[in-house]
Amino acid sequence: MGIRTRLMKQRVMISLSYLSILLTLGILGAVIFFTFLNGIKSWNLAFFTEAQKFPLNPRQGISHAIQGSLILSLTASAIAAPISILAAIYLTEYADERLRESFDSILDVMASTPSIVVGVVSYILIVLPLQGFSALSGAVALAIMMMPIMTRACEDALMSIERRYREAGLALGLHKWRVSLSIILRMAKGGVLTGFALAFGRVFGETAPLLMTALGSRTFFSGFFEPVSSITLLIYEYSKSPFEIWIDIAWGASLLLMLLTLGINVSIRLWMGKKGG
Amino acid sequence: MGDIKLRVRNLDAWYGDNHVLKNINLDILSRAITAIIGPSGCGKTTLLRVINRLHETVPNARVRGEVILDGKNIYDPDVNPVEIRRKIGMIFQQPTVFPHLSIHDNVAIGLKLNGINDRELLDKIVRKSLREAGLWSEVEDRLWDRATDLSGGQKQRLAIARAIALEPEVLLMDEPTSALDPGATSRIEALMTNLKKDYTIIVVTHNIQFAARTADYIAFLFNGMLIEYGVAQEILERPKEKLTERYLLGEVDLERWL
Repeated sequence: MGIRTRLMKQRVMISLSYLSILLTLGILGAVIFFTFLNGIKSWNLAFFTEAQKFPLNPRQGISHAIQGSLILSLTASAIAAPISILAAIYLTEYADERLRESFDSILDVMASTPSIVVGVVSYILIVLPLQGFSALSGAVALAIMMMPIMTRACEDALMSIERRYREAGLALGLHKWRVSLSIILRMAKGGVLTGFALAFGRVFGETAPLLMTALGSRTFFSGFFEPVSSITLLIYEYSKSPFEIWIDIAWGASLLLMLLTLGINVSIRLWMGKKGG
Repeated sequence: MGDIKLRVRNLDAWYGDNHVLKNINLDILSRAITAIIGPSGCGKTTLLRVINRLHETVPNARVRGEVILDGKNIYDPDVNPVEIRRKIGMIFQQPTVFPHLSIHDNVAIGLKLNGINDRELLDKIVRKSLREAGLWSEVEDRLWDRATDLSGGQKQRLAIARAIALEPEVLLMDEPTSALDPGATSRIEALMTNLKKDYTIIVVTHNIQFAARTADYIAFLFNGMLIEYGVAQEILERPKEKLTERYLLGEVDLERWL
């Protein structure tokens, strides 16, 4: 093969690579651009302060859905965090290496379970026995999604603490569980919190597990055993509706969701960068 | 000559299949410094870690034999290793301070986590321990700063303060100066000589000059066996065993012996 054909080939391949990057970034840019263009129109005071109204009422908003999303994600975190921390402490401080490795693989598989499956499981485990859709079942569904992410993040954070700190704790006449909880876990706090924030950001934008559990609602949160709205459920419902006002609000809600998840992820990156990680 | 604080009897220790200590018998005298010397890998650190039952926290580590502290075998089934470690403090080779805690709390943590919450009492013990460790004047105006800003020598003295805050009876030191510069080393040596008035100190070292300057008694370990044990000066000047003499002269090549 001559030098000319080879140079030619190289140019073609490099051009193709550039094109692919442009295409990917272009699609992402278009998503952000159109969401912004369509979403910003419906942003006004009522959008953030009012709840759902009759579809033709121009003064309505998504505050009940924002409240619902926060309640669902925070409750899910409150369920998942202590379980994940204890599981991670068991795996790093007590389990032998073979057991830890097999659990890690299981957790990795769990973390990539399709979210609709988590929804179905929660429906069978909680919605059916309680005979009704509820905020609680939605939070549990989200907690199931958070746990493997949180546990793995906690594990990594705990494992990064050198053994000598554990021995220094033991040498002070402290019980092993005391050393794990009061010394090692506190030293690993940064990594643990980063993992929580990542898991939070991940489930904040979830719809599928909530469709069959929290269901959605027209009003504010009215108890853990009642259905509750979320930003994602509202987008899902409104975007299918024939009403122009609701469709605009769905765009506005999409913009808010996009900015919030982006905000969470960027903050985590900045925070981790500052810590020199 | 003081009383015998600690008796090691027919002691064997393993890491997995690796037989690291072989039938060790040793009497440690109260309120004196006993140095355990020997080449790397001879088992001297393991011997230290057997004495506060830290050895057994490593997976696959085993011990057989007795360590008798004040007449009680600490390997008896009714003995809680946590209690033993409260009586026997330990200083590690690498100065280990807790980076998330202030200087004050690094000293107080052992007491706090053992259930002492009286602020005044804690402050008093922290101050006393820092003074005993010779660190007080350097940190008195920054007790609440993070401990990670201290120098290596200061960190090691902070670790000593943390250990003596619990008022242990025995202090184990695993090459406490090998990570420090000469100035910091001589401060630790002076501190050790001071501390032996109140504590029984067992120190592991591969530095013969260090042992000569600090130790009252020296035990020479080789290949997991106790070769010679006695008064420091005699061991250093007139060793009875050929192997001790050759080690002191720097003639023992570990690779060839293993």
